[in-house]
Amino acid sequence: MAEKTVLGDGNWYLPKTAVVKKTVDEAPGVKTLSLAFQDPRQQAFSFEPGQFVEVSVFGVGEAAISISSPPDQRETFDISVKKAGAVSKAVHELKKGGFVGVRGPFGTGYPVKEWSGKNIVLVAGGIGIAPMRSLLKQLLDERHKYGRIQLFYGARSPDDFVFKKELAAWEKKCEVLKTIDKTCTGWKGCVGVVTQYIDEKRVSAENAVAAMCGPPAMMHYAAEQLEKTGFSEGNIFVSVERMMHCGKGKCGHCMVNHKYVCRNGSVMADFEAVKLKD
Amino acid sequence: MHSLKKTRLMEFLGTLRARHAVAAPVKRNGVRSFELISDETELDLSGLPEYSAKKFFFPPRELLYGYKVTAKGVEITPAAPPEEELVVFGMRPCDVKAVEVTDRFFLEYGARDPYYAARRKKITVVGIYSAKKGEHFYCDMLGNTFAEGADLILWDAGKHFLVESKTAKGEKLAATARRLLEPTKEKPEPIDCPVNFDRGAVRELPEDDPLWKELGDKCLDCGACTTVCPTCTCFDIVDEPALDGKSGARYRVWASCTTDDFTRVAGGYVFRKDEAARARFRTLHKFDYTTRQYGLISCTGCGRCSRECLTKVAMVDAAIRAGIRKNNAKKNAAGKKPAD
Repeated sequence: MAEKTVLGDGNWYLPKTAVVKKTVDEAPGVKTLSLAFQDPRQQAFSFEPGQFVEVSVFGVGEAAISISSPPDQRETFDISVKKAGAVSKAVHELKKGGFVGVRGPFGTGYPVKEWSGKNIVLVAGGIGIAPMRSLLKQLLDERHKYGRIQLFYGARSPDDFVFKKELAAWEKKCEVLKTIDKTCTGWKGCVGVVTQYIDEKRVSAENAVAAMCGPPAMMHYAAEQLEKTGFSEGNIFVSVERMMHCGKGKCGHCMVNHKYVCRNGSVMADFEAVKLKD
Repeated sequence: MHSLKKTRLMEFLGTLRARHAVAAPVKRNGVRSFELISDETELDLSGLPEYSAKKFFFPPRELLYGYKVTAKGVEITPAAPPEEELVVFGMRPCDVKAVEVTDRFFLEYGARDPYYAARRKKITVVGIYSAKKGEHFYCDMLGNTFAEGADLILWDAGKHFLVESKTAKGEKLAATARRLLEPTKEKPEPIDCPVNFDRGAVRELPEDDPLWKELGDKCLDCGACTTVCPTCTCFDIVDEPALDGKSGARYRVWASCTTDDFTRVAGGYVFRKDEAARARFRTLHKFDYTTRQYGLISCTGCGRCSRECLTKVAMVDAAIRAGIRKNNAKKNAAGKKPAD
């Protein structure tokens, strides 16, 4: 029946089954899951850094989660999840071989293709490092294409840094500034909010773009600091967080002014979104 | 154009009902709403029903799909599309306008919504339009006295209705009741209802305008306004698991932007924290955001949100008053006599 296909094929509300191939404990309350679609026809799944998927744990619900692996990682893709709500808690319970539902990818990614030859400033706070990992890994895979790459990464404590092993590798290929909230024994890095390190001494807006993801307050002040060093609308790209149920601009939860974060974002080069004037 | 004697309206409705399911305004337990009818005499055209016909286009709780987790994977069974043709009878112009808005939003603007599309395909809209001024709450001011978008219109012309087919669907429906219709050259007399409203006024109100606080202070976060609004279509997606823990169903259910959990993300952060911010959001969504998105004001002027509000927060009234004030100020500046 032709009408059956209306609610079957092409129905973007329907999730596809993905299998958990690997889980990694990254930090207290943070896990990375490597997923692969069960149906081999879906393995052509392609996305851009900064895009997100709707992940289902059946019986619990769906949640919008950024993809944390780079697009050129082919067989599986990763999500890095902090235990925060019902779905993320359920995701943490999943073991290798378990099933989730996946819809997407949704939204816009970081416009990496336009960044050849540019200096790149990345700012991440807390679990905001997840989409930044996707982006940074893609940039580092083609390191020669870009100028200076800096990552400013803030976490609560040394233990709370996600991707600890990878950070060491990244530090060899780009500049990484790590900062924690309060100093502690054995810590030799920076202390305090990540935004205080974004200043003219360390950052130049010349031929540069900035990308960030983190808690709302961090993004607000990071945008202000970047503005002070000469960055302007159009070269600051923000991965905006909002409640998202549907992923395609229908459920209404993620609206900021006349834009849907899920559709017009979640990566937005838009000061209205940066400054969070809902 | 055809003429239908008012004394034969029940017969007309009976003829439609012989072939199709019919939803029409009825009064049950003291409340007027659109319901499926099995008895024409239940019809109540005494005024705008408290509830619009929204639920037939976009149900309060709609099955998206069933799921079953097995050892091999997850089986997904999409909801079956509606099979029966449905006539929604007796819609006033403002409610017909609402269908134009939700059609534009669900079918044309951005992604097409497969569930709305499947339901909409089976619906024929029959409007009842009155040419009497003052019966329309704010519809006149918003230019919705004669909203397009109905398949068939019954114009109230005193002792009879003028029956006008606007689409092929409407034509087909009228043909089933042809024996009750007489051809006529008479035309509905349009009344003069110029748009007396400046849609830009609300947009220009600053974020800290006292109006938003005034509206917010009275709001109880109950969601009555968004429930009765014929164009409010926000929803949650929720799971209803069976007791076996492995199977269940996923639904979408109406949600309201006036509640604080509407923008709450995992971890507890709420983006629109106070009622004032949410009153501003809902008002601007109706009068500004949708005009920028797809060119339509999504307030139809039906007035339900103000009338059904428990504390009489008059959200759209405030916006409309601001719009009328600005319109009058403009007219004054142009040296013309201001409207009331």
